[in-house]
Formats: sequence, structure tokens, C-alpha cells
Amino acid sequence: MQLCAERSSISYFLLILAIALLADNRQVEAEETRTLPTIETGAHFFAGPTETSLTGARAYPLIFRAEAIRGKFRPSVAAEFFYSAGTASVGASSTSYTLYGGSFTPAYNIFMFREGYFQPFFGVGGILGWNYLKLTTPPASVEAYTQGYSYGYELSSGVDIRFARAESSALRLRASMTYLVSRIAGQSAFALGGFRFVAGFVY
Amino acid sequence: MIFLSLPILSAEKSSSGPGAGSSASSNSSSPSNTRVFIYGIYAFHSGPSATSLAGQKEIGGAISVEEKTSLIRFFASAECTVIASTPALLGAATSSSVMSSVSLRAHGGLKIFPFSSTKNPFDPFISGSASYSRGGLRVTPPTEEVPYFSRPNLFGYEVSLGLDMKGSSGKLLIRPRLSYAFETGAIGSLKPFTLTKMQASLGIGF
Repeated sequence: MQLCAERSSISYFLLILAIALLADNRQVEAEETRTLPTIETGAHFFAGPTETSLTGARAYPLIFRAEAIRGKFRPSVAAEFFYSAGTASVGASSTSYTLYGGSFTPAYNIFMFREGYFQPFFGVGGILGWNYLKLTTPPASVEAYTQGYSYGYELSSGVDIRFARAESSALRLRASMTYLVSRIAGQSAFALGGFRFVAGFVY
Repeated sequence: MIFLSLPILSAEKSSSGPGAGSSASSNSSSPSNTRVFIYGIYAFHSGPSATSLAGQKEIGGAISVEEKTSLIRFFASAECTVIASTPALLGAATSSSVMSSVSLRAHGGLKIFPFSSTKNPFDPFISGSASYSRGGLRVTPPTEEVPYFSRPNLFGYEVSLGLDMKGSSGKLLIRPRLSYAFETGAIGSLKPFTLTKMQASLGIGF
């Protein structure tokens, strides 16, 4: 319980920090921030407590990201849509489910090297989203159709494999750990976080 | 209300645009600072089974007018959605009725574009708006709480996330969007009646 509260506090902090950094970035830069578009897709592996998560199941996200074109610290904002179906454990019972959702993810990516074919980066961001969960045979006292807001944070690392030395198109590989909770399936903190691996194209 | 909101917004944007302070005739020749979006909508309802339309699917369309370029953009939209004949358990009824509905909805709110630029190919955004809807609901057979035909007034809000995908010219935009919508009011003697839905929409802007 204490761990959950601490993680919630971290989520709020990182979400607010990410939004504040974006706002600050806009004030500092007199001209408009030029961004590169990125499309990513892959798999999200849910992890969490058995009775209040979709642990063992997978989601398939489609992520559209706009990221500052240059600099060591690059602000980015992503709009993410995902779909998942499988078997969920809710309370003591197990049932098939369908989950749709989306999230808005302001983040900062830190690029150590600004030139070269391989450009590794580390990213941190907040997540604000909403989800719709359909349970085929819900346990007693749980509604079959629920939806709720979700919030959390994401830590990621990855690499841009560029086709030329700098500011060119690139293949992006990224692995991340997300902490995400939502008020769905009659639970106040249903865990939707986990590990994800995505591949994308920066152009 | 729906039809009034659009001209009001357009008039405000014209007066704050490049031709501000000049006559109405000169305003009409200045470049427009607003953009029009047309959406196709598909929504999934959730909530308590007796006092909502949980499990129902709704389709419709919307037209929206909003500012073209700035960090925060005001918008107004008019929306029409329908639920075709589907079974629903309403109130204390023990057997399902067949329900159909049409809703007219007006929205007013603002969108935040963190990377607001005409040059960026992707422009993610998050938005919030207040909504008012007037519906027509037909239930066959009627239940104790819900009559054969009712016209509910519902008030609520909607939050959305999405992004603008621009073509090379920047004049035509494609906008996928995902929204969380909440409305509350009364249908017959069912009060509060809440509509909570996840709404996916695809828009084209010009």
C-alpha cells in the first residue's frame, strides 16, 4: 500500500515535471520548436499483482511522437493508442477481456551524442491516459464495462540508428518500463504498467 | 445552442485576426485564423448497467471550428450521434428493452498543442471541453422508470488526446483522436442517469 502511494507520488511529480519542462522550453525558445515525427509500434507486457493487473497479457501500442529536432535534451510529446485482449484475473476470478486505451505522454529524451550513425538515448516522461475495459464474465459486484483515467510514468532507453550522420531519418529501437494505474474493473489502482519493446521510424 | 456557437466563435476569431479593428467587409477578405474539422465518431459506453447505456455502441459525426496556430486553441463543435436498435436493461427492469437514440451535442473548450508550429508534421494535443446534449430516446417496451419516448438534457465534459498529421502543404490535416466523455442528467424518472464513454474519432481538417 505504501509502495503504491509512493509510486503515485512519483507519477504525479514526473507528469508535472514533464509538462513544466515543456512549458519552460517554449518560453526559452523565441522561435517555434521544430520537431521530427516518429511512429513506433511493438508489444507491451503487463506486469503487476495477479488480482489487480493484466499480468501475463500483452498490449499492442501505436505511438505517434513529435520530438525536438536537435539538442542534447529533446522534449517530446506522444499520442499513444493501444489494444489488448486476453484473459484477466480480477479479484479471485478469471475472465476474458478487451482493453482499448490511449495516453498523452510528455517526455524528455537525453541524447549523449548528437552526431553519428548510432545515437543512444535515455528518456523519462509522465503518462496521462484513459482506458476502456470490457470483461466477458465479470465477477459479482464488478461492472462488465468500465473506463477510467490512468496516470503514471515511463523510463526508457533506446537507440536511433541513423541513415546519415546527423538530423536524418533513423530506425528507433526503444525499451521502457512503465508504471501506470487506472480506476477500472472496480479497482481503485488497477495496474497497467509493465515492460515494453517498440521499434519505430524517425523521419 | 449548437447552431449559435459556431458563428459566435467564428466572429471572435475574425475580430482577433489580422484584420482586427477594420470593417466587416475588410475582415471577410483577410486570411482566416480558424480551421474546420469534420469527424467520424465511434463510441463505446460503460458504467453501471441500470443507470447508463453500458455496452452500447454509438456512431456519428461532428463538425468543429478551432484556431489554426497557437499553444492554446479554443474550439466549438456540434455533434450528432445515434444508437441503433439494441437491447438494454434500464432501471429495475428484469428483461431487456430495445432502445434507439439520437443525440445532438454542443462542445466548447480548448486544446493544448505543446509543439505548436505549422512546420511540424506531427502535432500531438490534449483537450478539454464542456458539453451539452439534447437527445431523443425510444424504449420498446417502456419500463417503469423510462417512458416509450423521452428527450433527455445532459450536461458533462470531455477530455481528448490525439494528433494532427499534416501533409506536405500543411493545408489538409488528418486527426485521430481518443476521448473520455462523461454526461449526466435524467431519463424519465431515472436520475442520475450517466453516460460514460470512450470515443474514437477520425477527423479531416482544412
